Amino acid sequence: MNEKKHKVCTTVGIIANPESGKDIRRLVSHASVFDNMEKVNIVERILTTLQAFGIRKVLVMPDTFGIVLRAINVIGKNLKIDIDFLPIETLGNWKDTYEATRQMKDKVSAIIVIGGDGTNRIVAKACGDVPIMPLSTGTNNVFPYMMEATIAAEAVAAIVMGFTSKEEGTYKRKRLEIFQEDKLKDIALIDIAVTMHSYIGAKAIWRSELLKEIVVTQCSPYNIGLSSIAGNIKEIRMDENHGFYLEIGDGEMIKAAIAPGVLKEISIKNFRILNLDEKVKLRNIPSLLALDGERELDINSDVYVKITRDGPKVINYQKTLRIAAQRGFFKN
Amino acid sequence: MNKPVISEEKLLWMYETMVKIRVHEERAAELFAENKVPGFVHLYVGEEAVATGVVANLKKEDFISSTHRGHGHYIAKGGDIKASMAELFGKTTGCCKGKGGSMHIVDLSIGELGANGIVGGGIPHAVGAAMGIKLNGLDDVAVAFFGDGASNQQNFHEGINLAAIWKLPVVFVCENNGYQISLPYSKQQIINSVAERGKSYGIPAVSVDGQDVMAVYEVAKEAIERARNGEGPSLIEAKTYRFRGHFEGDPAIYRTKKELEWWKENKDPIIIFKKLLLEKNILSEDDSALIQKKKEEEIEEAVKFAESSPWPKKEDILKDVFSTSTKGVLVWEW
Repeated sequence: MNEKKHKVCTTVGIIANPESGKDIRRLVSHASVFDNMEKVNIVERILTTLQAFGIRKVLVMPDTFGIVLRAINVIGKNLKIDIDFLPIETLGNWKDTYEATRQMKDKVSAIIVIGGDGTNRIVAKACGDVPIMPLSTGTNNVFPYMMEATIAAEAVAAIVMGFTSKEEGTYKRKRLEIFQEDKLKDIALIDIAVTMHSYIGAKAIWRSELLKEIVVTQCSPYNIGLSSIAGNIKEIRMDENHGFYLEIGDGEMIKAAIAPGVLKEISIKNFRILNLDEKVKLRNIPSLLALDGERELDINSDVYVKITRDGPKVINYQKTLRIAAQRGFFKN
Repeated sequence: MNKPVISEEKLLWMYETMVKIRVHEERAAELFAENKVPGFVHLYVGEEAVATGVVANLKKEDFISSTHRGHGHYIAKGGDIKASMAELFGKTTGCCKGKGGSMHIVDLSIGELGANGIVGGGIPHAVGAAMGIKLNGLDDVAVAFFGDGASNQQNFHEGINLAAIWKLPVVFVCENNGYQISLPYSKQQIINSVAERGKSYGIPAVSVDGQDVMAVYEVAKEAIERARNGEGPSLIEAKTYRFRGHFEGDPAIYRTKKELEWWKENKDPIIIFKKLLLEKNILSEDDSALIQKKKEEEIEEAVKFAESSPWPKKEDILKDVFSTSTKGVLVWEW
């Protein structure tokens, strides 16, 4: 990459969630704590990589821990990027992520999201058409990439600087839409599970005996979490224009890894492909809905779910970098 | 619906306990301001969900060790508030015969190993109790409550390390209220969560919203079951906030009024829990008002009891300090 040729570059957004990777699954499964200093390290690698490829401005969500701030301090005077923190009051909850995404979406060309499925779900509510690069730091993640941050930042730089166009290097993900009385109530990116938990509490799901129905946008036998229950029956790729619905009850038993190191035997009553835009009425009301693995919504009246192609635009880092390399992105 | 994981009876007990702690602490603040309570008091207002959510999973035989902010733990564990109120007043009917005061409330009959004026001082007590449980082949559990500041003390490191090595039935509950007296958490630890320290000792650790009693209950349930089943210690960080100063009289200039008001408006554990119980039709507004009234009456009765109780006699001042007489301790010869 020729830094001299690209002095002025488009802005990149960074959203790093300080809360991910510490929930109850550390007790009920074999998940480990994802510490925040590792997140700082990830941001260091992102910033130095963006800088090496000529990015000169980054917009950041302030957070209660100061992940990016600490990364800036570590890099010190070698950092040449102009970094602006969004003027939001940090509350230490999902609202920080939502508000930061809302504020940055018209000012950045891509957003790097450091968090799990839950963090990305919030970003997806507000990012509009801005491409995102989701990096996994949570537990049971299906949506974000488990990958080296340096490579993620390279792909972002290639998109932002136009070596690979957004049309070439990104794709729209599916999403699940939840409707109550014909109003969109909430969304999920990977799965919605109907559970018989009586309260939201510690949010995570690990008691498979309380599960009743699951709807997924994508699933595979090589992913972990609730979607793996569907994935062990049939793989649904992210590029396929359908999802999967299954009901739990008397039927065929399957084994699924619903959390790290936690294999449960689950009896499947029935299942079917769910086409894009086809509505499915959830059968177990009242109940509690888990969105992307976290208990979120208490429901007491009819709820419909459908899968659409209106999820966030995600950078395909492999394709992006393949094209960028052919166009001289890595040449001095 | 499947059978709920927690009974309505237990949920109501949790609500009543939280209200009782709140009423107790607000009354204690008034009494301190009226100069009726000697010494310092550190109040638990705002943190009620932590003690309640944890203790809801314990039985009478289980142990807890407490902190300088210990009234909530004692009340949740089933402590007699007449005895604790009398202790606050320094009266002979107090649970330490009036010689301990707010920071040394103890009642071994309910497994309360004691509040403690030493930061982190209760941690070794809980670890010791857990060692006793293990050596005696019992299925009891010990819980150590402590603050974020205590997690910087050697008591924490030594206690948690020994508990991990010996796989003891103890649960470490850090009440991270964001301030080590006046020092913000971000200025005392480089990490974001005390839970990150669990990894260093090879034990599971989790961070939970300490203002949500159901979340605390659920996390504590798993940690306590692990301990009871012989799977060893766990560390829970409950992120919480105290609505009053570090101690009564603390001007709390280290935090803004806006910050305090935000927590009171958005994260009051009693309001959050009450809303849930109302939504689930487990509690009505009338029930709630009745509970409030009942707890105010109970506390008032305890205050009257304390006020009418006798002061310790001068000649008894050195009694009950050691459990047995100790030769060579000259102070006893005075």
